[in-house]
Amino acid sequence: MLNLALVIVLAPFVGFLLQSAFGRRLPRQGDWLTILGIGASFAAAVIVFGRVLGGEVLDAADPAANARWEWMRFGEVVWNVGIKIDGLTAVMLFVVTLVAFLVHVFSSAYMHGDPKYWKFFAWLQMFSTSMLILVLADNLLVLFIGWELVGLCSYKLIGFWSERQDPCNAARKAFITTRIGDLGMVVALMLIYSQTKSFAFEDMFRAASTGGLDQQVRTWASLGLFMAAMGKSAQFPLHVWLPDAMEGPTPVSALIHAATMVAAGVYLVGRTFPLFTDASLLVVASVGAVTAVMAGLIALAQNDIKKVLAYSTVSQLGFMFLGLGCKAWHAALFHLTTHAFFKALMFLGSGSVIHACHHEQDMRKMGGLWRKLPITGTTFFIGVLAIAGFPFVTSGFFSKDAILAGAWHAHPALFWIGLGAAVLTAFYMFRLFAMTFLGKPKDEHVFEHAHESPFAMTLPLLVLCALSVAAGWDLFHWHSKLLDPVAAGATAAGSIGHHEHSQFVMYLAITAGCVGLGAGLIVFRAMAPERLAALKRPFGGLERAFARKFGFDELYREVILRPAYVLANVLAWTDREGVDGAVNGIGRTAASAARGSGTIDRVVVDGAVRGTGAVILAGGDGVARTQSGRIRTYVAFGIAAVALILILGRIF
Amino acid sequence: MGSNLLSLTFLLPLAGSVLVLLVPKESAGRACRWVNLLATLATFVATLAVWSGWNAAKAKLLPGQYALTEDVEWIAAFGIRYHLGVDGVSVALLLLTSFVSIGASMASWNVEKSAKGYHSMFLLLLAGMVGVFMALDLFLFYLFWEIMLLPMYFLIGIWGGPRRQYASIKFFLYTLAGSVLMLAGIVLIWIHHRTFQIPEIVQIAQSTGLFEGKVDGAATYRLLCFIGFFVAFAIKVPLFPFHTWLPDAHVEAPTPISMILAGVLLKMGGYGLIRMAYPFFPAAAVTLQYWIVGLSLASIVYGALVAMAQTDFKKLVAYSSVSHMGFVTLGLASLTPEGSNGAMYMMLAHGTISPMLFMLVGVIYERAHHRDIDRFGGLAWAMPRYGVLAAFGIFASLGLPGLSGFIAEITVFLGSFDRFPRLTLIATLGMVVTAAYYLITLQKVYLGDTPAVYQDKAHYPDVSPRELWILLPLAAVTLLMGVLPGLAMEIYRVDLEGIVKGVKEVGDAIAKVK
Repeated sequence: MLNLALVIVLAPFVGFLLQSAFGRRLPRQGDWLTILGIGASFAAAVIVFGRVLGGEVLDAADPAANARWEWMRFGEVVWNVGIKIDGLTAVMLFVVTLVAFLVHVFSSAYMHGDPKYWKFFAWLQMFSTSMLILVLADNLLVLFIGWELVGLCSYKLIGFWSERQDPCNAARKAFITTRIGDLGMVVALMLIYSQTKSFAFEDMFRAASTGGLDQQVRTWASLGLFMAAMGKSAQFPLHVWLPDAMEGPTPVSALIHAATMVAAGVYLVGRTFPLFTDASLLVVASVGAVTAVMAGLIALAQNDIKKVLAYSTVSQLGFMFLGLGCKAWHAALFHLTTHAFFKALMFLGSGSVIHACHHEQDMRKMGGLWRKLPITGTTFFIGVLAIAGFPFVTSGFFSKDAILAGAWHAHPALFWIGLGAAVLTAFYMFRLFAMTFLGKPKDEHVFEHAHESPFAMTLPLLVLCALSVAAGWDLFHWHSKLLDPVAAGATAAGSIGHHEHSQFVMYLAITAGCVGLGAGLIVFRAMAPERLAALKRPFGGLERAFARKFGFDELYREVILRPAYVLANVLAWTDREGVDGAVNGIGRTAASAARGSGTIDRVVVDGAVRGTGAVILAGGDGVARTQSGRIRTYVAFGIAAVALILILGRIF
Repeated sequence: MGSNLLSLTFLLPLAGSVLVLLVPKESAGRACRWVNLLATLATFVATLAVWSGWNAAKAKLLPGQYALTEDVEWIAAFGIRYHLGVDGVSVALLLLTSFVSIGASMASWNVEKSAKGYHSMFLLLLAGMVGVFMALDLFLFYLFWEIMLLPMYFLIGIWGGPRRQYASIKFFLYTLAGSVLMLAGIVLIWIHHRTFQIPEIVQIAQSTGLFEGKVDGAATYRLLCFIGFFVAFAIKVPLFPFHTWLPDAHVEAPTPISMILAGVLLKMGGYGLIRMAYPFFPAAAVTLQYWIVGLSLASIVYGALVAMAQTDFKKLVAYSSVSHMGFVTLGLASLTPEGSNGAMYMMLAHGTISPMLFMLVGVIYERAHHRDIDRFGGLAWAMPRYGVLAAFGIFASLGLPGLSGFIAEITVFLGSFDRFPRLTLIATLGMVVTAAYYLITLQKVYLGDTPAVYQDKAHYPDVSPRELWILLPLAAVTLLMGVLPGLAMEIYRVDLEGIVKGVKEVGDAIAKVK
């Protein structure tokens, strides 16, 4: 199985190397090569998934599923790199490689004709590789490496069209915002390492359960990890980068939003769950709940199809953190999986729409596209139902219900916030669907030219659509067989709660989804536009606030960026005029002093040198002789100083 | 293994330096650069031989002993000996020195102004640099230290940019001020202990303590002496607030000299701290540790912030050096195995990454004749191969995992957190600021639209094979050191840990007694 793990991570990496070196010169610019790479990785992941499901991994320490190699050594301490496979890894590997594979296939049509086509595939490969490193890591340091590489790849891909300024800005914002979160990761690494002298998850959990890591350290370390997760998973208040990241090509958005970057944050918290204490979990849950609602509200007022999807991702990730914070660990990771499928589906679907409409992203110019794009429209509709939590047939229903159940048991107040967010989700997603696919076409020109996308784009949609439904069923009991053993390990450390299924919560969840969808249906489908406008009028201020994303970008610009720049410039000025000015001042004073008292100087220097500095003379005189006059003065000055110290040394 | 290998290592470039002067004037340009390159390559081979010789010898050495030693009486009256020797720390730095010099030598290819003088100075500088890393006699050390200073002064002052005079004199005075402080310390040690031999001094320092029983208030003497040594080396590192010579020197120095300055000369400071300041005065080092940490943090964060405000590309890279070298003193001050190994690793990582960055700046300066970040744009499209290398260098410098800078930063963080938990948190801020200024620069210079000026292929050709062969080896080492850090770290690790352990035991014990 370890060999398979190596195939999983090395296949796309080799693909990256080959593609960067030769991609441009290969037929079809090498897209088949990279699809082969990620395909091999996916095949291996399926086998691993099957074997773990078949019960091949006995326990966390099973040597068949763990490998480590010495990397560095400090005194007695060895730093390893290692891989580890358990149920959670198996699920993640499956999801990541599958979505990545489909995104590769989709891109081969979507990116057709782009001048940097080959480069795009190279970075897709590296993106997958980085995420797989992150998932396979058996210790926090290696995870961090994958984590940062994911950041690099997202920078490269969000800024893929970096001939223009906007993608550059978006890419930079993504990298720097997530790096602020990474400070938390570094702090966590330092805290944990200073206590346990190890990065391995096993050692960490053992220390957590036996008291080797005390409560306070665990709280701070876990908050550090959560801070990193907030950056990568775009949680309030570090969520600002994700909507901007829509500047990247749409397949990248799908990959980022479903399988790689944002999933990394949830995975991190899920993986290191035993470290979290009640205090830090409360923070996780609260941030999650706030983010879920806030992003939902912003999504309501967006008109760019990708922006709506982006905020819906932020909101859904909020749900996952709400679940984690409420100790509904299963539910959160379950939702991570189902969300990966239906969000990839909708992002690729939006890609298909954008492709069809010749790179038009504004929903106000769409409408009625279902007729023109039957496959895209139908699959998208299933996606909307899934994210809205349409009862019993969609995967989203099961996972969201489970999270709400967990919240109900842990923090009823947060449960109600979550429920509100669930209503919102269904509502704004229906808005998106109605504006894009239903009603009359709003822009004849866009509508006329719209056409269904080629097979390479619709095939991934069909596959993801099937999974958006099927992931909710407990096929092969994957849910219990894969996640339970991992949870059991975490439970031993006293973290994961058990909840009996609550009928009441389920009814509420069903109601929430239906209310949202129903309201959406009434407002955006049945209601005449004039009445809708009249209905919205009293809420104009609110709508503007939502549309302006609550002004976080402006706030950060004024409160963080501008002061940072001012500080930098002030310091640079201080450095020039203050620190360096002092140096120059000393230099000038010394020079004039030397000129002014030249005679005395020479007498004193010579005397001192003759008297005590014979040693220095041997070296110093040789130096002095080669110098120009000016330097000679300074050398003499130096020698005088030494002589002075020598004399003082003798006296005392 | 010949017993004169170490002498040979510094005599090779010295001989080259003389040879350059003998070249007849008419063919000077071409011949000199070949002599330079061959002498530098020969020096590199010699350092490789030193490495393998040290490898063969190290099993038999006791802790604290040096390999390949040459110890001959020189000026008997003062106990001055011609004493050379290496341990893992020096071997690593020797390899770095000669390796970076090859690139710098190739970068000197098109120096036209009095080529003879330039190449002669270059090789003299190389001789001084390798000498510093091998000398075990303080007098000899000082001699090499000063030998190194002079060519540098002339290389900046004659072959530099418009403000070269100011920059070179400033460089000279700064370093001289440091040298004088160090010299005072050396002389004080000699007066009281009658020895210049580093191993002997370390032994005294760690058994009784220097000056103990020789003067009243020996502890104060040690403290003052430590400050002298420390400031001398801190100027070289350079540590805030002794750093202001660096931006000027870098901006005015020609590209190859900037490469050497950043790649090797700054490491003299770190080396001096490891070899002398700390082991000679362990208790003083521990007593002043918070001052040292404070200055290191200031360097890291302040350096990064000031870098953010620069519009001159070269100055930006210079300030980033201030920021990165702060990790060296921070890691060392922690006296933990992780911190000190990380500090040394930072010297090697910065020693290859920053010459690469200076070369990258040099490439574009040679074409555009300016370095104003705001006036560039889209160079990655006009010069694709150059763009890739630049992105590589920038991400290496901002500490991307998989490249050497990351290993250095993370190990320093983890080591220094052990001893200074709260203060280390401040250092992590540097991570964000560094990412910010580098990505802004990357965007302004290499991405976005390409102004029409830079689309002119005749004036803005992509990197030439020569430039490529300067940059590629540096990049390769950066990558190798990032993926397999053990390779470089194992050269110096055991010896460095030995030195630091000694300092920590003695220092902590005495500091506790007080």
